[in-house]
Amino acid sequence: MPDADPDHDTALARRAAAGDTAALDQVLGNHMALVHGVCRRVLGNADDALDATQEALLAIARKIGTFDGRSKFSTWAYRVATNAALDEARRRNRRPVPTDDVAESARAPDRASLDTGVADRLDVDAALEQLPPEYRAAVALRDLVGMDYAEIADVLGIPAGTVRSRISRGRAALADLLGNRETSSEHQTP
Amino acid sequence: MNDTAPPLEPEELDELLSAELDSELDAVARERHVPTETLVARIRATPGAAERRAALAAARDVLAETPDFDDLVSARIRAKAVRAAEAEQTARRKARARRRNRVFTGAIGIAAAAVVAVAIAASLSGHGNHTVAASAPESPRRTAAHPAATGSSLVVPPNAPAPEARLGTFTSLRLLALAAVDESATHKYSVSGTSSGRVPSALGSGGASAALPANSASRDQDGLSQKTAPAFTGNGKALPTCSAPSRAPTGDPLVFTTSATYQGQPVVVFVFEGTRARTVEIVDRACRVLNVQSIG
Repeated sequence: MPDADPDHDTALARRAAAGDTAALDQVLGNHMALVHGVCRRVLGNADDALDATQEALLAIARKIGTFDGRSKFSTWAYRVATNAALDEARRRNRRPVPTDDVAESARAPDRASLDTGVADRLDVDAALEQLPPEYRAAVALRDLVGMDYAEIADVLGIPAGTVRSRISRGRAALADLLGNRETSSEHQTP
Repeated sequence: MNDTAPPLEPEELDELLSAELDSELDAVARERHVPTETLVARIRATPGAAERRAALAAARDVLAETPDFDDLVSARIRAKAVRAAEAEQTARRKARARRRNRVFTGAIGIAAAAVVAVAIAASLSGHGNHTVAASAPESPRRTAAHPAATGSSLVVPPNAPAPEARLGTFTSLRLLALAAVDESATHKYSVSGTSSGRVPSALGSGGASAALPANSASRDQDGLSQKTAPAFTGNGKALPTCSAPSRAPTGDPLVFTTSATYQGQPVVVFVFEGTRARTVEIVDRACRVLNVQSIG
């Protein structure tokens, strides 16, 4: 969830729109980690995520003058970030074909040589990779950014019911993969 | 509690459990037009629902973890974005300045054009049909203003009005006639360039100087017959387009036409060449004859 106070963000964004670069730097700093997180979740790849994050930050900085304050700055900024990530995904043509049986197709990484944190990240990426980027975006906006369904529907331009379905699919994919790992670990235990 | 509630399919169970985790189950119930309790009952009626809820909650918690982001990379990207914003602002300011300059330049141009148009209109309406005479005061003023350039040796009294004509400014009709005769000796029709009988734009035709012989001021009235015309009453400076007589009263032909200022008023001077003398006729802006002289 974003830590920044929405009203404070809006004030900073207005100052930034008026040319205050210190305010711009501050408001970007407030949201940068989550912007990167959304890009990482949508793209599932560290390098692509960095490219998308840079594009998103540049777009936010350049378009800050168009922010009118009618919506929350975070909603506006994550819309820009999500679009940047989805554009990057389309450019790289890495959209996977969704599958109903994620557990069967999930590729479990070789966790023997990885610490738990890295394994978890890879698991998340591997699980979400089974979903189209638009599904991953819904999951990221809900679980990472903390938007409610209505905000996500607004950002993605889809009905709230579709948002619910996409979030469910994303979580289910990860739950299945995590369940497989636990099962696999149990099997490896003597 | 409804014990007969049918169990849910796995995908529907995930969706309802996920919505329940996000406190969105009421919204789902409203959307499906069923009580929330009905959905809860169906979840409970589904085998393994509790374990699946826990798995989905665990997945949600993992997804809520913020991916690592190197501080140095983060700072670099942020700095780049801020620089881009500054460049964007600079470009916008320059674009605004260019637009302002274009508007300002355009306005100045329009204003200048309007001033010129008004000036032309005023000039045309102010002088009516006297288009030839309208420019008359300009040329002699230029000539007199630069006597050295025209070779003029005319001495204008300090308290005399500004020179208005090619031949110069005179307070004596006699001196004016003498100057015209002297000028005609070297510029027969060369000033006017016309023999049409109309007074040419003598004040603006250029080329002739207002030269007056250095000894002309010492001449006296001996040998001259002078006829003074009615008093000149005009106040204007512009010369009219007068019909020049093709011949003098004596029958001599017109050989030279020029202009001058006499007692502050523009006049036209005609010189007719006879066998023994030259006749000088001076007319005012109303084409009235001011003076006729015969100079031998």
